Amino acid sequence: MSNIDFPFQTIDRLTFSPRPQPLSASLRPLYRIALIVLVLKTNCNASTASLLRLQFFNWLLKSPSLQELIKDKLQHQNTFTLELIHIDPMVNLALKYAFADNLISITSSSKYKLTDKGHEFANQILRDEHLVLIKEREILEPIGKRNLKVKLKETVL
Amino acid sequence: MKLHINAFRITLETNRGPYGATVIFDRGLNVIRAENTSGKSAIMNGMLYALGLEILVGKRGIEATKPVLWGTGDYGGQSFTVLESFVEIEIANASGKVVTVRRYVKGEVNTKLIKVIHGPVVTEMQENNYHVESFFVGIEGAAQREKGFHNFLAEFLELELPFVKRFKGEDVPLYVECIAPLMFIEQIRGWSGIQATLSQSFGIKNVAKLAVEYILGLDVIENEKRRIQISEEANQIREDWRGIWELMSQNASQIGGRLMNVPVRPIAVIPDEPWIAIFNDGKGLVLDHLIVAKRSKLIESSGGETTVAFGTNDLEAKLDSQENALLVDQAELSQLRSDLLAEEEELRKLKDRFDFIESDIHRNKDIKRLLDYGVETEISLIHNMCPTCNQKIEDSLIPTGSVVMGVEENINFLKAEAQAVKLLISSEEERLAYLQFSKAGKSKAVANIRSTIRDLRMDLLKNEDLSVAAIREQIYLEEEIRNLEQLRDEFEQQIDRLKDVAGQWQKNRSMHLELPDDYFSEADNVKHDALSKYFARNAERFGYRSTGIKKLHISKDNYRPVSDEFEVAFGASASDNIRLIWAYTLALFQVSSSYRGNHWGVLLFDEPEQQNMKDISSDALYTKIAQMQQEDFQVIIATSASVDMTKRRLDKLPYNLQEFDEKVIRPIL
Repeated sequence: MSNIDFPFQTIDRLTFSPRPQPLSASLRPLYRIALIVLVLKTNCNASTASLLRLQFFNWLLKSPSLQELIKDKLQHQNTFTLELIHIDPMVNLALKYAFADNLISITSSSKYKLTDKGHEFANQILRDEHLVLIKEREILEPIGKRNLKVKLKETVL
Repeated sequence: MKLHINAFRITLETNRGPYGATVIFDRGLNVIRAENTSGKSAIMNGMLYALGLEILVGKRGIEATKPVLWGTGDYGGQSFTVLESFVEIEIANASGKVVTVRRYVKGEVNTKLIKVIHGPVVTEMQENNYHVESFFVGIEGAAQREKGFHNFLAEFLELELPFVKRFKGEDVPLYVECIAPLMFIEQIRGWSGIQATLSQSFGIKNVAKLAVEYILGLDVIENEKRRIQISEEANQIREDWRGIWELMSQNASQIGGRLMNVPVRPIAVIPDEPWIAIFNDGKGLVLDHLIVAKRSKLIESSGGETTVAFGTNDLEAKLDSQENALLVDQAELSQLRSDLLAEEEELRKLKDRFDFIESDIHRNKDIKRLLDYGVETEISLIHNMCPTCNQKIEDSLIPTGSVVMGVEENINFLKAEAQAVKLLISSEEERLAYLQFSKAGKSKAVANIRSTIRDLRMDLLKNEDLSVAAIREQIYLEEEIRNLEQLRDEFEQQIDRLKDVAGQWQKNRSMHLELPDDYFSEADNVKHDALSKYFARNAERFGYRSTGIKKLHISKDNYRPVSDEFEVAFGASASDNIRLIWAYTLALFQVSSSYRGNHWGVLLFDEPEQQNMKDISSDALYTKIAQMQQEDFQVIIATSASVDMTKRRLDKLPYNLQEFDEKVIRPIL
């Protein structure tokens, strides 16, 4: 870049005022909460899941390569091993918010369970005429509630 | 009226012999009265099942029917088990033609199969030799395929279903399942709201709205379709234009020139004739001039090859200059190569960015919708309040250090960015194309200089009368002229095509201009006003009290009842919600009947006296229905109000009462 001679001599005062900052949708709490609620509703038996299972689905939604893998594997098996899983702290944060807002509850075995209010929210999403979150649903719905066992080294989801 | 239900019959084969029930319907008001748990709903649900509309009950297949049709039932203290059962509904179309639709509930016959008998089997009470056809229902394609029952139904009833766009892109007829919830109010879910039994979108955009538009026969459906057609055509034209533009600039680059006077996006009138500017030694040239120049060069050099025109010195000087030219051209070529790689990488990055912005816009739009639901579900986060401590929090999962944009603002921001990136992409693509063609031209030039150098060296060694270099130059020139002429012809053909497309574009744009500015046509506005009026009048008559009746009207956005721009439904009291559904359902028919809409002319009300409805309101409903034009209207009400109450209510009204007392389904003698 060429040097620009900034006319500092002629300027008395500079003021800076903060402008609102754009934010990626995936960092908005409501979006992540809606995804968690959706996963619990469409992909979890009794709408209950462990943190690791939720992390797995979060990663699935983010990673096209994992989506391909799952699509391929699901044709003949329910169990497969993953080398590695991406743990996203945003999921934990969103879970905290969702819990505080009474959309999910925590069971005695420290799993997350959809509350009645959470069910209501999920149903509204599923019934939406404009197909809200349809891209995400197109990934989640084919998997459904099948008894998916993803082996992560020694851990079983 | 498009549909008239003549009769409905249930036939059961049980371990205690044949059981069943038959109901005959008239025009106008029909009332089926029986005690609770007597099997009224078996009839109402059975009719929906027979028409393949069981999705209105919220279930698919036989689960939508009452267990008495496939499990066990009792009559007179004796219970029976169903071995085989089917339902039949006898319907007539507008021209009076009658068919009987038979669908099995239990037995060997597949429940997805529907038999259509071309005759009044139920009312005639005997089976004649009518023509019988089989259709399927509940499988994909039931609305469109020739053997789909709903396809048959739409044709038989002359429903004139509009073709609408699905999210996946293809056109489908508006499914009858989407329309029926406005006319058939089922008992369990039907009274929870307007179109409450339209529980899914069937992949059709704005399906609830479309259903109302269809019943009212609004022009907007046609207009919307036309709008979509025009914009699809416009996209096709843009693509064609772009294709021609690419061919023309390819022509231009092949000879190291630039395309002039052709924009990348279509225009209706091409103001100046397109041409190719060729840069020869720093000067711009027209193609024709280049051809003339090459020709005169050819004439000049002819004859030179036989005499030894060049002395050794001349040849050496020429060789020297060619070798220098080769070095320069090679350097330029390698520069072009690395430029190309860099630009390709740049383009890939831009495209990634664009994809990301697109999906982020999509997600932000989703969030906007989620916010609406968040209000309904009372999620405190949506007000940016911490659910635990009630303090203000930022709408972000990560600390931002400054204020975060609102979702709407964010969408606009992203759209502006997408626009900018799109511009960058198209200029990048243009630049890339230019570089590619320059590279091709340069490679050719380099190859040509190399062979000239080879020939000059040979000439120097041989020292013969014939100059190989001079001959090569002539051949090369001749070939070049031929190519240029061919290219000029091609280019002129492209200009003609371009003019054709410009004409199409002009037509398309004028069609676009002719589309009404308003979403609604004149006639649509009249219908909308009428719906508002009828609805408010009905609601008042039925004793609606919740919010100011004066402000009650129908929204133009979604055709739902609003008061002061707020959707009334479901701030109103429970019994008022029922009144709203009565008022709305009747108003749809009234408008359709007065302004030639597409209402089928049939209403089914299963237990309309919900929520401890005041008797006076129900009286008003029955009276209103009985007063409506009977020739083109049929209402079937199932009620468990007491015998006396029903008698009093129907007093002095024209009606057809089917009294069942205890049990609807009983032994057939």
